[in-house]
Amino acid sequence: MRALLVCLLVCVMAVAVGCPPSPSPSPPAPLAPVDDDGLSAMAVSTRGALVWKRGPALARGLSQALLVPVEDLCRELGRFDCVDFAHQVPLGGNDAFVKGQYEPLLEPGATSAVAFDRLALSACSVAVELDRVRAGAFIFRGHALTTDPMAPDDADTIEGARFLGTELYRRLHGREPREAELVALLGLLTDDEGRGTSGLDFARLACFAVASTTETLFF
Amino acid sequence: MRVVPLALALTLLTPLAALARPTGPRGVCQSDAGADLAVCQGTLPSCALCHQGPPDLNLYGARVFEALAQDDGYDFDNFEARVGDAVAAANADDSDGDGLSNLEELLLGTLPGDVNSAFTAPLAPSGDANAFYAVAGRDPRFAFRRVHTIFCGQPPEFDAITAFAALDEAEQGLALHDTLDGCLQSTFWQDFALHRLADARIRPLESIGFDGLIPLADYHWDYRLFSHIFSDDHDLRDLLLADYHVDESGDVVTGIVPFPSGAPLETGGQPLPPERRAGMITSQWFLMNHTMFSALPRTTAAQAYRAYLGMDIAKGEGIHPVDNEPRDVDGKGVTEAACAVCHSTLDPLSYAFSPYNGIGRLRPGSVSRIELTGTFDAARVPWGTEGQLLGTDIPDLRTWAEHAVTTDAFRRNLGSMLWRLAFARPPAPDERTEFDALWRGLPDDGFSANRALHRLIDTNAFQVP
Repeated sequence: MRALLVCLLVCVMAVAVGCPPSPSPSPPAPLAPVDDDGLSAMAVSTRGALVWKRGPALARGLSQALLVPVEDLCRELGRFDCVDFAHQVPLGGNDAFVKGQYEPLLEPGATSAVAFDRLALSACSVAVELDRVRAGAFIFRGHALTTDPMAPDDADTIEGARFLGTELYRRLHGREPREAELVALLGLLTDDEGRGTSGLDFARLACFAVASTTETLFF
Repeated sequence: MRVVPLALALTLLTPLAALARPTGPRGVCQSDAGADLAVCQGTLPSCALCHQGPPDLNLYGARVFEALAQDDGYDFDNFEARVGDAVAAANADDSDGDGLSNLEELLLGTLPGDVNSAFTAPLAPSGDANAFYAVAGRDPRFAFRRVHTIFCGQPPEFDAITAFAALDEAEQGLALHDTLDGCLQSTFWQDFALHRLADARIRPLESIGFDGLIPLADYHWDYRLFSHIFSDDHDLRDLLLADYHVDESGDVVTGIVPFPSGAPLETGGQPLPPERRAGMITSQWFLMNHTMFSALPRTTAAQAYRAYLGMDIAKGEGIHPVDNEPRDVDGKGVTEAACAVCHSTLDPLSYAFSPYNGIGRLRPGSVSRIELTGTFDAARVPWGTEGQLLGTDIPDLRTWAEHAVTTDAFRRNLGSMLWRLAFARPPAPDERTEFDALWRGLPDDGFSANRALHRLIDTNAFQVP
């Protein structure tokens, strides 16, 4: 522990006095610019009066979209329900009966985004797993779920990923995806080192990317 | 810069209890200047309008006090009658320097003495047409998502949205209201959303409820009654007027409900006869939880005032003092100046609750006859008939409730509850007109929550993204 602290101190001092950093990998190449479909020029709402989708509605929405029972969406340590217990308050709920919290938060708190991500990632992971063990996929259709690794440049792979992206946008946001959104999802077919990701990882990440946007959280 | 006379300046710099005048809120609202003020629409200004924390004045309070001091007709005793003119005299100023005049802030409902309380109307959207939302006007698809998510507890599915979008405008309007009707019958709405609205009014506590170790009363009766009143076009005035309860099967029961057989303690029913009931504020849980062992149930009255008239005395809201009060009938020392500011309102509110037992029979120092929890005993204290509520004499709790439901405060609070159900936040200043119309229209709705909610989803606040 002492050695660790000394090491940490030396590092901090080195940064503070401007010592040259040790060699590091070259930075990742910037992503190719994505056509935003004219989104940046669109008029946007100036009211700023959206409603925060609280935990129970959030969970019911994810359950409906991903065909996962509400009680299976997310459990910490496999026991504590994320929405009704473990992350109840950050997700906008309240426990009047035991905690005596009679009103929920008026606005999202500092940990709300983390709790939301946790719920979305867990829900997507559960949904992928349910589809994996089913005889036929319900959600992650048209996509080679068990392929590892996928071939990112393969036309069938891309077509399957676009199909899945469209399905996810329809299910999670009730709308068709924009082209730019699908292109962004296709980036998940490749990992940081340029290798194809597995079918399962792509499904989880694509689901999480679509489910964890502010569009899910505010309406 | 206005030159403040030396004597006045010295007065402003000295925190005197005399500067906190509990008649101020009423004086403002009863004056000509108060008629249109947001803080006077179905409520009273809180102490925070003029005070940092009574008796210290804030910048706006100091300006009003300055105007009072310059009023030749003002003497200390006619404060209530003159404070309205002083407010009017301060209207053109911007006391907190936030760019809005005092009058503009009073009309908007922001605080003219707090620079952090301000409002700027949103600019009109500009740019190319938005492909997803009608950001410059009403958007039925946006409203459709909201109705589903708020009232049914989950967003609409893709096919439902697609089908809705294919309808013409008139059909969309009908479909929106049909969807709301369906949602208002859902278990999510009736057993979850309404229960969460009820939490702050019932204030359950598992440990002393019927699920806990010391079951002194059963708050499930309260939740059932609350949801019943908010459902199926029932009369919201029953929150304070109901002489019935709702059992586990959803049926209305009118007589005394005995405690259940096998209950660990002789509690858990509804022991009051119908003629002594006043809706939510006379359930066994409400009386037990708030009155407990008090001779004068101030906490009970304060919670009733807070929950059903929307004014929290602990936050300096709803101060409406009664002459010659507080009398300190139970010897708690509330005639001290710092206490009397609130207790001149609170104690008269509380008298009507005092013939009702809290936990067992009133007996200082011990608990006796637990089966009398939440029962009525006219002889419990001698001051039970001497109350006042918002200027009206109150001989008993039933009268308290009957008068309360006629007030704008009750209606405005209902509007706040409905608004909160939809938006989970208070109305913004630019939504105030629609909010006021919502609660003022409740009599035309027959005090039905459902009908009012149908009006609410037609507002711009609900339909404009």
